[in-house]
Order: sequence, then C-alpha cells, then structure tokens
Amino acid sequence: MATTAKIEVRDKNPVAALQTFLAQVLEDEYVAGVLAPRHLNDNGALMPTLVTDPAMLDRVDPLAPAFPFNAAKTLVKLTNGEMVNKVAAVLKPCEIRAFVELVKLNQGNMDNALLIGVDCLGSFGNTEYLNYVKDADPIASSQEFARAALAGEESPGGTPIAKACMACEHPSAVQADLSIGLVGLDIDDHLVVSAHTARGEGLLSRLGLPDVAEAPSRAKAMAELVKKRTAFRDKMFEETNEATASVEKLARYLSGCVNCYNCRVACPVCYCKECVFVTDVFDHKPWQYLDWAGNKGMLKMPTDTVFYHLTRLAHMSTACVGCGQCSNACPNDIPVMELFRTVAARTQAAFGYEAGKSTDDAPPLSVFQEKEFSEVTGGVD
Amino acid sequence: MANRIGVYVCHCGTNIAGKVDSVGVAKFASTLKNVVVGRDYKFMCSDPGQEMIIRDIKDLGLNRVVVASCSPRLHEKTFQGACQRGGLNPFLFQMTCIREHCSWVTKDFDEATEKAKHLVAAAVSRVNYHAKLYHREENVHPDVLVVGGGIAGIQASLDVAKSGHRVHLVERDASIGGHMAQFDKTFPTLDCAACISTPKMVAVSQEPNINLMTYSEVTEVSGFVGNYQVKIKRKPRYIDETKCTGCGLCMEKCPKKVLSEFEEGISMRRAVHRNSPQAVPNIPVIDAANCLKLTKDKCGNCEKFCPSGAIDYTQTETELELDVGTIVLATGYDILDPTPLKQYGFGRYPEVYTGLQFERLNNAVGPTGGKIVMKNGQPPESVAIIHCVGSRDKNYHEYCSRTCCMYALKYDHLIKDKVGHHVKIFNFYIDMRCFGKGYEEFYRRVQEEGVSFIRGRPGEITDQAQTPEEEGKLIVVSEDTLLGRRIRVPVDMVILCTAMEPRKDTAEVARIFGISQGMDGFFLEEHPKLGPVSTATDGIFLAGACQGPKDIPDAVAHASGGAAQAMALAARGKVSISPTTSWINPDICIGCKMCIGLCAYSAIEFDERRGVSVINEAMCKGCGSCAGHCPSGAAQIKHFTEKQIFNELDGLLMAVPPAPRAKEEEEPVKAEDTAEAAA
Repeated sequence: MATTAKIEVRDKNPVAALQTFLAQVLEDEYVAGVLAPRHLNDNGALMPTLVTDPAMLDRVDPLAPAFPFNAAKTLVKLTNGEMVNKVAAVLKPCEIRAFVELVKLNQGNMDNALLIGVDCLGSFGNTEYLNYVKDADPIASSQEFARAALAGEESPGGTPIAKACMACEHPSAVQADLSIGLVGLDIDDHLVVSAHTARGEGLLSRLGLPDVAEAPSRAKAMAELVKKRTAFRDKMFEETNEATASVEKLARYLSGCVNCYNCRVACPVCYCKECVFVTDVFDHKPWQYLDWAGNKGMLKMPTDTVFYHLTRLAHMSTACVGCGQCSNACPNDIPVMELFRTVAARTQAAFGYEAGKSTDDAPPLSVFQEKEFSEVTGGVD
Repeated sequence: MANRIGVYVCHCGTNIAGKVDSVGVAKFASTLKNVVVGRDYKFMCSDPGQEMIIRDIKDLGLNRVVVASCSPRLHEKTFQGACQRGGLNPFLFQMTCIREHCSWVTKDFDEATEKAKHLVAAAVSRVNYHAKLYHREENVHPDVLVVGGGIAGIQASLDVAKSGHRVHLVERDASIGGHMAQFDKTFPTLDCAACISTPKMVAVSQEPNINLMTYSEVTEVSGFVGNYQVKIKRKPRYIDETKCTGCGLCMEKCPKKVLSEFEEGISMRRAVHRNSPQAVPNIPVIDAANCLKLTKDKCGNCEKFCPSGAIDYTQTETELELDVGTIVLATGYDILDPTPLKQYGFGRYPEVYTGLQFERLNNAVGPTGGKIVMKNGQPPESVAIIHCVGSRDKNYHEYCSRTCCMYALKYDHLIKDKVGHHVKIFNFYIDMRCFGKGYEEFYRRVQEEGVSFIRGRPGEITDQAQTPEEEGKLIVVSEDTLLGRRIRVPVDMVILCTAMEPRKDTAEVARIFGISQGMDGFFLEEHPKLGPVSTATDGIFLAGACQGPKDIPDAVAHASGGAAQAMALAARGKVSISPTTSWINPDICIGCKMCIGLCAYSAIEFDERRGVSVINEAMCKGCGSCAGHCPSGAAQIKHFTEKQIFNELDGLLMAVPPAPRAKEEEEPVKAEDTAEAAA
C-alpha cells in the first residue's frame, strides 16, 4: 500500500504549494535538478525546464493545461548514460508511460530519474492553450482551469481539451515514484502525494510531510473520470474503425497528408535516429513515378503517404501511449491520434500488452512465444 | 551508367513450358527497363544454357543476370558459378522461380504465364540494386571435440584421430562404451557386442591423438565455426587416474551396496564401482552420494586397502577450457521408462523386464553370468515379448524406434538357444520391420525356429488367473488382429521393447551448443535427406542416435559421416563465410538492443562505447530476425536490403500485358511447339 502524505495549500494557491513541494525535493539533494513545465514569460509559453536553483521554481506550473510536446524524449536526454546525480521530472501520466517504453528500448534510464506524476485533467492543443490564456496571468489561468475541470466542466473557458485527453483512461500516474493527486480533492485546501516505489517512499519520509488517509471521495471521483473517458474512447474507436474500414476509406481518411512527418517527430515512442522514410529506400527514380502513373493513368503526389502511416503503425503501435502529440503536430488536422490509438488498442490487445504499464513487460515483438497466434501460424499447437 | 541486364527463361523441358509461355515471357522481359537481352532455352542449367549466359556477359557487356527457372535451392549456385566464370560477381545475379512457384502450382496456362511475367519483372527490378559481395575466409582450429563416448562417439573419434587431427572426447559417464557395452549379442549376425566394441574402446584409450576425458561434461560453448571455445567440467572420481592400476580391490572391500545403473537396476554395485572389467578407462569412481567416507566420514576401506595409494577423498570438481574448430555431438538416447504404462505392470510384476534389463540378464558378465533365469533362479518356460512399448503410440512417441523388431528377434533366438527349444515365445507386434542388411533373412530364420508372432498390441498384463493353467503366470491380454479374436497368453516372463527416446537433458544440451530439436525431441539435422549429419549451426555435427533412433550399423555410419564433415573443415583449415549476413549501420543504430534478444545465433553484441549493436559476421546466418524488427532499418541483410526488397515488390506489382487467352485444345500444342523451337 502506497504511503500518502498531504501537501497543504495556502491562500488558495495550489501551484504555489507545488512549487514549495518541489523546492523541498530540490533541497533534499537526492536529485540535482527538477525538470518541470515552466512559463517562459507572461504570454503563456510554457516548456519543460530543468531547474537547479529553487528560486527559479517561481514560474513552474504543473497544473498548466498545456502540452507543448511529450517530455519523455527530453527525459531520455537527461538520463541516458552514466550519471552521478539524478533528475526529478514532473510529468503527465502519458509522458511517464512513454518514458517507460523508451526505457525498455534502452533509450532512457530509470535509475537516473525520479518520476513525479501529476493527476492529469487534460490539456489543450498548443494553439488552443495560447487562446485560452490570452492576456491573463498564466498561473492563475491554470488554477482556474483545474477548478473548472475538477467541477466536471467539459470545456473550461469555452475551449474543449484535446481529444486524446478526453479519451485518456490513465489520468493518474501509478508508474511514477511519486504521484500528486488532484482528482476528488478541494485543491484550494490541500493536495496529496503518494509514493509508489521504495525511493519514492524514502524521499517522502525525508520530506516530513504529514501522512493522510486516502479520501474515499478521491477514489470515487477518479473512477467516474475514468468511466467518462473510457466511454469517449470506445465511441472514438468505433467511429474510427468505421471511417477506416477499407483501403479506400483509409486513403480518404489520410488524404490531407503532405508527408511532413510531423506526427513522427512529435511521437515520443518513434525513437529511430533515422526514419526509413528519409532514406534512399524511398528515393524513387523519375521514371518510376511515370511507370506508376502509367499503371493507373495518374499518380497522386506526394507518394507513399498511406504507406508511411501503415509503416509507422507497424513499427510503433505496440508502444503507443495515446498522448495525442501526433494530432497536436499535424498541420492539416488529420485525426491521426484517433487512428493510431484505435489500431494500437487492437495490436496491444492481440499481444496482451499495455504500453507504458511497466518496465517488466518486454515489448511484444522482442519475445518469442511458440504457441501464440496459432490462427496465423497454421494452428500448430 | 545504366545497368545491362540479361534475362534467361527456362523451359525445363515441359516442366515449365507445359504451363508457361517461356518464349513470351522472354520477349516480355526484353521490354523491361535496363534489359539488354531476353532469351529462352530448353534447359538453362545444361552446359549450353550456362555457356549462353557466359557468352552474353562477354559479348553484350552484361553487368546483371536474371534466370527464371526452378527453385534457387536447386540451381542458384550453378548460375552464380556461370556468372563468375563469365567474370561477373555472383551476387549480381538473381534467380526467380517459375517452376515450383508457378508452372507446377497453376492450372491455367495464361494465368501461369502472367504470373511468370510478374516474377521476372520483380527479379529484374530487384537485380538493379544488387551489389558485389565477397565470401570471407576464417581459419579453422584443427582440433575436434566429440561429445559422448558411445559407439557413435567412439567411431567418430577414431575416424578423426586416424586423419591425424587431435580429438577431445568428452564422456559424461565413468567409462566409454555407451549402451552398446550393456548388450550381449548383436543382431542379425549374433556376434558378441563386447567382442566388437571393446577393441574400439581400447583403441580410443591407446590412440595418441585422442584426449579422453571421462566423467566430464561440456558446460559452455562460445565462438563460431572453426573457432569454438568450450568449457568442460571434470567431476571428481576421488581416485587418482595417474596412480590407479585398475586392480579392483577397492570394489571388493567397499561395504556399501546400491542398485547398479549399468545393470539396469537388476543387481547391486558398490559405492566405488566401474561398469565392467572391460571399462575404458579401467578406473573406478567413488559415488559421492553413497560413499560412507564422503557422506559420514566413516569406513575409508578403499583407502586402507588400495595398494597404489590412488584414493583421494579431497578431489574437487575442476574446469578446463579448450579451443576446437568443430564439434561432433554423439550424446545418444535414453530408454523410455515403462512405469507409466501401468497396463504392462513394470515395477509391479517382478518378471516384467525392459529390453535393456534382458540384455544384462543375457550378458556373460551380467548379474546371472549370462543365464536366462527368473528371479527365483528357474529358467522361464514361456516368454512374451511386447513390441512398440511407447513407440508408434501417440501417447508417448509417434515414431518407430527402429531397433525393437530386430532385438526382439535376437531375444527369440537367444532364449531358444540358451534355455531350450521347448520354451514358448510369443512376439506381440504391430508390424515387423526388418529392413536392414541380413535382417529379413534373420527374421525368416527365427520364424523357422518355432517362435510365435501375434499381431496385436496387448491391452494388459495381469496375474489374475481365470483358468488353472494361468495360475502363477503372467497373462498377456491382447487381440490377435489377424484372427480378430481376443486372446489370453499365460507366460513366465515378459520383455517390454521400450522406445528409444531423446536424452532427458536434450533441451539443455541443445541450448549449450546452439542447435535445435525436432518435433520428436531429438537433435534436428540440417536436412532430413541431404544433410542428416550437419546442423543449422555451422561446424556442429551429429552422430548416432542423438539425431533419432538408430541401430548399431546406422549409428556407426552416421558417426563416420559426422567425422568426415568435421575433418573436411579441419583438413582445409579455412572456412568460407557467406557474405549474406546482417549488417548494422552504426550511424543509424540507436542502440535499443532489441535485435540482440531476437538473434537465435547469439551473433549480435552491444558496443558500449559507441552505443550500437554490432554483428559478428562469422556467427550470423542471415536469417533476418534483426532486420525484420529494426524499425529504422539500421540492421539489414546484405543481398536482402530494404532497397532490394522494395524494388522486388515494386516489380511484382507492375502491370504486365495480359497473355492472350489461349483456347483449351491449343494449350499442349503451344507448349510443345515453343519447347521444340527453342531446342
């Protein structure tokens, strides 16, 4: 059973309480720095920032409904290789799950990171977030958003959160060393922090925060939130399956694709140094284009768009954590998150695998089981 | 500069041309991009066919060649050789299969012709992206490791040693000889097993080129063909091999008796023991689990009485490492334990024996001195021999153990010979399989000796008599399937012809040596017909019954085959390594290590300094597991690169002109015409 402690909130300012908590984490000297979302200036722009001086925590805002990119890849850069000191990282649950996948792929190193997850109430797309904040104080906006979202508002401030967040059934980060709880609580009174690992327990006990029992209201609210999101997700799966049920439909679905590869760049688990789609394998000769056009009387340019998405799905759908950064990055509003998540749900179910759940589960294609998929392999039992 | 490709379409007599318009396919090929010449010919693999390619390479300046004919498994090497003779790197050649994959499996002539065109287009598209590759040579360590000292291992060791190469023979047991040392006579010639095997055992011990290590096991193998490093565990004998004279006094003085494994549990041995006076080496071992000195620090008789001071209770397990070039596995077989076949009452009725127990009962140096007697000391008046116990039985082993019919016939004869002609013998068989040299003749001879053969698998052996003449007997309950009648046969003794099965630790041994097991559990050969002694791992060969049930002549022949394969590598001293291995581009590899776990040949290592995976080309078999998984394409198989495969696919998907629909009755005429025209 996880140890849970209380983070007192003063002056109805939960962000300030979190800043104080992170300052304590830094002072503990178990970690040398804290990676956390921080407002760069007063226009709302927010980026994961590596903070070593507690004084610089003043603009750190773990409650911001902003998700500029998936910071799992950033944490890879901060943890891969030999390290003397650890880094604490304040991440969204989907960032933590992506990091878990990258650790399994020998990219990040869990030993060098102390993961702090925060209950995720959802985020806006990048442009929507800037519209939401406008000229207001960004931290005050975040707190307003959190209060509204906790009260069950669908579109705080009139702007809906990203569809990936609406369909996310993992609002809490149980894979983290420490997780900070908001759901089911009055965040103007107190927050909770739970330890899920031995080192999380160790740090929590050193911080000397008062223990608190897990409030029943929290479990109930969390269950309700997950239920609502799961229902949204299942409806999304159904609609996407229908919209992509044949090759023709899939081509129509992806017809806006311009091969910018933004979805691949934004994808936290697309980890190749060099994508096969930028190699000479897809460097076709001029006469080949003419031959292909000749086969059907025409050839849509750019070529290989559907092929690109299918290849990406073949490579990464078992590792997809559903963070939705692909859709966030798509310049043509193709519902790529919906497609990737729908396919990922099926490939992961086929292998009995859940991406990001645990570093103990080996990626499905890296293990051989003699008796799996007998319907495909010819029924050898 | 554009490529210059020559395409050659084979008729293969009517094998291809009977279903494919080879002339039309060749014409179509000549319209493809970069194709300089497209020809058809009756038999491309013939000398004139190959000459045609060589001539065109020279006259037309071809720099790529495609042959559309049979499976590359058959003639790829032939045409690669032709290219090489023409001065072209053999990897600038591509073969496409329009026989097994096309003419033999397609009914419709036009459909087959169109398919052949697609296949040729694919090969042409692919060959554009072929690159020159070169075989690499590695040195082969001249020493050979033979694992297992049964008759197969002995034969392999002697063969290799005779060639002048050094052999390390590792035997798990305290003596070599294996199962054959337990036998009495051998079928069908009835020469005594010891008389023919002990000279070979002695030859092993006297052969200067053989380093015999008994009571030892291989624990680890690393390296690759020609360069294996082997770790060997030498178990403590507690007897100094250099001092022991084999006088046997220790065994006389040892007070501790346990059931003898060599005697198949039908008599006792001492805690210090050896299999027989003919054991090689003739040095006993002290069984640490039963020795009173080693378990309870009592007794010490053997040490007191040993005239040469060879007893050494302080010995411990040692380990040594060897370098060898090739390995011959001759680890033999186990006998199925018939206890689970409860209907036969083995272990319950004292007069039910396994075949091996009967061998010992019959053996001149066995517990009864070769007298065939029951536990009460009396000779049996009637004997039932049950064939196929655990063989040809899907509950145990589906395969036939291949030796039981013949040794059952041997028992028939020996019982008649030793106990007397009045003894009634009943063979319960499914089919008599007497396929070897002199075997059928032996069967006939035994039949004429008055032995009964009953076709049927007994359902039960019981001691519950139903009639006065069944009293005190074992009753074999069976159906005589030739008479279609249920029968009860009362006998004094029952012999079970128990199946030969894979050694209990076959899976572990397969893991150590990096080879596979077949469906039956025995080690898997490279090819059931054309590669029965080699394995999928280069430089590791099989000998004897570890590959599947074998009788002595077959095991010996198989072993000589394994020895010849090992010697071929050792004698040449070099091995050619195929260049179609994987290669991991270090600029693209991101070091996720997934390929390392997937490699079945342990051919990938991680370079910690550069953070990338690296292929050991000598160990890589080019199977493509790594390339198939690697999402970035950093791992690619040379000669099967993504570029080559994508272009092959592109060629396959190319639109080809449809073949004109031929009229049904014209089909054969057309095929013959083209074949003749080409000839």
